[in-house]
Amino acid sequence: MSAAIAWDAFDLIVFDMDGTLYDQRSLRWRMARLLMGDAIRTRSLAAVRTLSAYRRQRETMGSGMTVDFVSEQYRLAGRCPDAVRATVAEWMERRPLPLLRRHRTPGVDGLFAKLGRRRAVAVFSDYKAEDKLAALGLSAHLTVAAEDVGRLKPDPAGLLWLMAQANTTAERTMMIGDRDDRDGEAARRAGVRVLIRGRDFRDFNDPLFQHAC
Amino acid sequence: MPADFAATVRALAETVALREQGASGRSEAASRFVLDSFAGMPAYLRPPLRAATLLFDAWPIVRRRRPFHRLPPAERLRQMESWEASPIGAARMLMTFYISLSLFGLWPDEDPHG
Repeated sequence: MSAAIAWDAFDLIVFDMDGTLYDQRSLRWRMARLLMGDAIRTRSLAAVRTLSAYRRQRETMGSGMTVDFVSEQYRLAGRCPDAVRATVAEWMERRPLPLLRRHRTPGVDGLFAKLGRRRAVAVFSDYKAEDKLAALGLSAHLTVAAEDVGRLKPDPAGLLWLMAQANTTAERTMMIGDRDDRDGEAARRAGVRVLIRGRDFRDFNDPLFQHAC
Repeated sequence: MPADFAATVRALAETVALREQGASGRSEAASRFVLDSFAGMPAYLRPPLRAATLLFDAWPIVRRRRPFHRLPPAERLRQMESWEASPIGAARMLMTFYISLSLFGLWPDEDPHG
């Protein structure tokens, strides 16, 4: 994207978390190693099977309309929902935390600091963001997760909630994510401008963000 | 019909995808993830793992006259599951390595930019 961005035109900058604020691919390899070690130690593929099925379930839910996704996401065939919830909490929420900092997207700390001086910085994620933000050494004025609004991306409910909290409009809001089919689509449905990592910029040292202050 | 490392990894990923997700399993992403993971492993681990993989691929040649990666899906599954349940720890570990990485590679968050 070559056109410069008039950052003064925005009151609210909303970031996606996974894949945007940190490099998800390199983290995945680290997590795969941990899971593989667990499978060898316990002689069981139960955790990786459960996580694989859970991710498919969430992806399917994001593609359609699920009425009660908060509890439905843990209902996997042949598995106890409480056990699924525990496995997800351990492997997708707790275990990645100590690894996140080293996979942080270059330039994100400086950008958060610059943007946060004059406008609201928010995180809109399908997963709880507070602990990950802290692990990344970042702080945001507002955060919202899919569970808070009962809708997964690309439903724009979280984005609309953030705009209401920041008391601003779609025209004065910018969404920054990594998936056009999720973040991009949510932004379009909300009438919000969007930047997609990997398509519009590589990291936050990109010239696009040079004048963001 | 020599043993072929990359073809064996692809065949294993296809077998895992078929067993875990049926016909809808997307094995390309899984085999790419496994091959990338292998490339990112410490150098000292790669040769023994490659040798074990090639041994696994060559295993059915005597009886079936074909390496694993040329077997039909049902026979591939039989061989994978027999190694998974093998009394030999190294054989079980090799299968755990490939099956867990393949399952991880089947997570549907590839191609993020649509």
